[in-house]
Amino acid sequence: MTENLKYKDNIEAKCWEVSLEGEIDIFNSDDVKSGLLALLNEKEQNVIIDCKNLSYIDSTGLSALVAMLKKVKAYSGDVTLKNLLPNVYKVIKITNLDKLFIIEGDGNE
Amino acid sequence: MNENNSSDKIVLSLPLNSAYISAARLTASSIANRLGFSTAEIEDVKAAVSEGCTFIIKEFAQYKEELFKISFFTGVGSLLINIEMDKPIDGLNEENLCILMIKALMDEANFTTKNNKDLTITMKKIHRETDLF
Repeated sequence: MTENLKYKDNIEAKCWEVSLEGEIDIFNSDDVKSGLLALLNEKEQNVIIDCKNLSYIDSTGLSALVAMLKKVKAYSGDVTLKNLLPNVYKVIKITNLDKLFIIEGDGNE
Repeated sequence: MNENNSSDKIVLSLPLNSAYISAARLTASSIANRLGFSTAEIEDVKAAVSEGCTFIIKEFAQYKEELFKISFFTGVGSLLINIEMDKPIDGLNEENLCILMIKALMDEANFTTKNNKDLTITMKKIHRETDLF
């Protein structure tokens, strides 16, 4: 699993608690995507992604998140993105992904 | 001594290898900071340059031994950036996510090719904001 992705199975809340960290771009987005999809293969449940330590994400990183979202939606689950830094929130907003993911906070904290 | 008003050209030549995109982001960030851009403007420039490099690396993946060029032209309150690759390209899909993001993040963005080769991505950011703190 890539160093940009940490995770925990929250058995009580029945969800994956994921933390994305550092910079995600074309160099490591395939590893992030593989890591996220591997979690869903292990257990189909909601996903909560904490982005407080995610300093940058590019279009390929966003594509990795969308690939995971598609898979979660296929079993009627949800993906929540929380604690987005302003620059990360901005790229999610300009690509209209704020309409597909559940966003906690507005990226201005 | 304030040298922010000078017009300078900074050129970065990178291999078509995704490992070096972070170097392009760092350079873009440093130059935008030098021009007094706000934190949000610096993030926009950094992201747009990164998307331009990603587009070039994906489109020209078969030329992995080649270099592409990023040129930064500093101006008074503005930064012009050209990202260039002089190899054949099979058309230009303007709906590509990289292109859409560059257009959204920058004040001006143009994508030109000459006879299906020599792709140049030109983008400009104008300094308008000032950080509150």
